[in-house]
Formats: sequence, structure tokens, C-alpha cells
Amino acid sequence: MKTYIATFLFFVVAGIANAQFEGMKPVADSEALKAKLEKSAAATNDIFAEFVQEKTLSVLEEVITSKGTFHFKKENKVRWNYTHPFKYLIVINGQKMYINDEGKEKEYDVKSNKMFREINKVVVGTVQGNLFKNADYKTEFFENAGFYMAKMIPVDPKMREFLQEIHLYFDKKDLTVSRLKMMEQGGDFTLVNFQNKKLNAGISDQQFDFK
Amino acid sequence: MRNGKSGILAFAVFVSGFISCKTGLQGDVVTDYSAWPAYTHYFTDNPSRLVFKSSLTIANERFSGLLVVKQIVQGEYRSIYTTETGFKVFDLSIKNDSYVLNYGVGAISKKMVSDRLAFTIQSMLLREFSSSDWRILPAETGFYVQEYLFGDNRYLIKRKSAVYYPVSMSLYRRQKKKAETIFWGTEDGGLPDSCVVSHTGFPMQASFRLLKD
Repeated sequence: MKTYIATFLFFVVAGIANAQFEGMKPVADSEALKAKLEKSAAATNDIFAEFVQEKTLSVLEEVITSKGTFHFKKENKVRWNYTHPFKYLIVINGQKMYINDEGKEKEYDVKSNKMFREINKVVVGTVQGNLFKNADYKTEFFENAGFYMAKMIPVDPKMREFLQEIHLYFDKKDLTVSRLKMMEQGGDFTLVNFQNKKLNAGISDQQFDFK
Repeated sequence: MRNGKSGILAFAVFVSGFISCKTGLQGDVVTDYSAWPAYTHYFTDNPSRLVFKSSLTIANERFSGLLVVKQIVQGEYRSIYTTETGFKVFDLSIKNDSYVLNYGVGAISKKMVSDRLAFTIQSMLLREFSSSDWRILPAETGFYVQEYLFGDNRYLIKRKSAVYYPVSMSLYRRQKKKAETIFWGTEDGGLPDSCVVSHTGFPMQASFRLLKD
């Protein structure tokens, strides 16, 4: 009985959280929307946001939440800093990636690791607004009252083994990404919600130093 | 008693107790097994699930992320490992003596790797032996060592007391040490804050730190 109640609550809570992203219909003019998103991305030099990441493990009926801050600066600089419930920092600066895992530091060449390459492509492509131009994904656009959604399916079957779909939600108010949903086989997915965004606030290059 | 060898075991216990006294080692001689309850472990208090921050090295590959463990029924667990950014690394269904790999990325899908990975999780959670299939061996001052025999496997579990969480657990097979798990943060009798599992003769090492909500 306890299990049934927990399952019911799990889906109710998940349903409430998702309500504003429901009711998506296909966008009538995808080309016009792409042009609009590209224009907005071209005018965005840097982005700061707080993020809340929720990893849903469907088989366990569990959601694991982590939080942190996110910095982006053109052309290819990203600082993804998890602060709770663990400390984990990823800095991407061009083709180099730096990771600080609770004090253990390591540098990688993004090109040398497929997973990092994909993370870099998704993260940078997302915030630069050009991920949907990438030939590695088949993209369709949807919308509701508050958001545009780009539904992206990897073309490579091997890629689909660990990433089935990416959903990018753009806030209609500022055309920046408010939510990223990465779906895996078996029903698990990762949601990243970006909050308290600040655009073109003048982020220093030092934020992306490897230290 | 184990496999009906009660006479042999009783003799072994008597002998080990005798050796303990004769050699001056301070491991207490335990004759009343019923006074030793099943040790506490991570799921003794039935938490809905546990989350560990973890790093895992397999040969030249290094993973880090979160291990989420949920008890499905007593003694049966589902454990899922994801990177910090959310990509799933493996999904294992674990019992005391068996496991099923539901998903494993890259080399983890190979049996020789998943076998050791399953042992890693089993030893971290601590296998639940029945209360009658172990004995106490002589030990250094202030510790007890429990020995469990299970098929070809011999487990030595070092404990400070009957109720404290173990300090370490070692697996031996045919007289050779195969793996060791060291637990940290049990000084006050609580659950370990963290543990490190090392394999002998196989390039795998894992560390886990319990995340508290």
C-alpha cells in the first residue's frame, strides 16, 4: 500500500512540476523561429543562471536533485558549477575541459573523449542557440503559451543508446533556454531548469580560468 | 551451523579461542553467538534510498558521479550510477550472492568487469550473512575479526564491537586476497561516512561517500 501511495505522489509531483511545459503543439513556421532564435543568440554575449538539476530514475521512482550556477561567455566558454549536495566544477574553454571533483583536478582535451565532446556540443550549442543547426540531430519545434520547444533526436543509433532525445525549452520572453531535458532509454531523464538568468551582464574571463 | 559441520566448527571456534588466549592476542573469545546480533549496515533503519558521491576507476577509465541504492526487498537492492551531469553509467540489481547487470556503459558490460563491480557494491552495502555461519578469529587489540566462508570465498570482517559497523572487509579466494573494503567514519558507532573498495590483481578502485539530505 505504501508503495502505491509513493508511486502516486511521485507522478502527481512530477505532473505539477511539468504543467507549464505541457500542451505543446507543432510550430507552424520552423524556419522563422530558427531565424528568431539565432538572432537572439547572436545578441547574447554572456549568460549567468542558477540551475536545478533533477535526475529521474524511473525504475527506482526517485528524483535526485542537485543545484549550482552556470556561466556562459562567447565563443566557447562554459562554467558549470555544482554546489549542492556535492561540489563538482566543469569549465570548458575552447577545446579544453577542466574538472574539479571535490578537490581532485583534471584537464581534458574535449576532442579526446566522446562523452565530453557530446556534453560540450549540447551545452555550448544550447546556449549559443545553434544546437538545432547541428546535422547530428533531427529537430522538430513545438510551442505553448510560454515556451518554444526544440525536440532533438540524435541521428547516430549508437548515440541514441545513451541519449534518446533532447528537449530544449526557450522562454518566449527572452528566447533563452529555460529548461533542458535529456531522455535516455528505459524512461530515465535529466531535467535542468535555469533560473534567475542574467544576460549580457559582462562576465569576466577569469571565471573560465582553470584553477 | 554451516553445512552441518557443527562439530568441526565448534572445534575450530574452540581452537581459535584457545590460540587467541595462548598467543596473547586480545580478540575476545566469543562462545555465545546469540549475543552477536547481525551487524548494522546502511539499510538497517530502512531508508527509502541512499545516495553516494562516488569515483570509480576501471583500468584507464575514470568515472565519477552518484550511486543511488534502493532496497527492493530485504537483501535485494537496485543500484544505479550516473555521472554528475546525469548520464547513466550502470544499473545493477544486487543480491547477497548474485547480481544482474541491467545496463552498463562501455567496458562495464563485460562480465569480468561487472563481476567485480557487483562485488564492490555488495561489499559496500555489506552482505547479510545468517547469524550462524561465521566465527571469531584472533585479532589485534581492540578488534574482532569475523570469518565467513561462502563457497570458495572467505570473508574476513574486522570490527570494533558486536554492534559497530565493520572497519574493513576482505575477500580471500584460494588463500589469495581478492579485494578489500575499508570503511571510514565509524568511530562513534554510526554508519560509515565513506568507504574505499580495492581489488587485488585487477585495476578497479571505487570510493563512495554517503550524501545526507
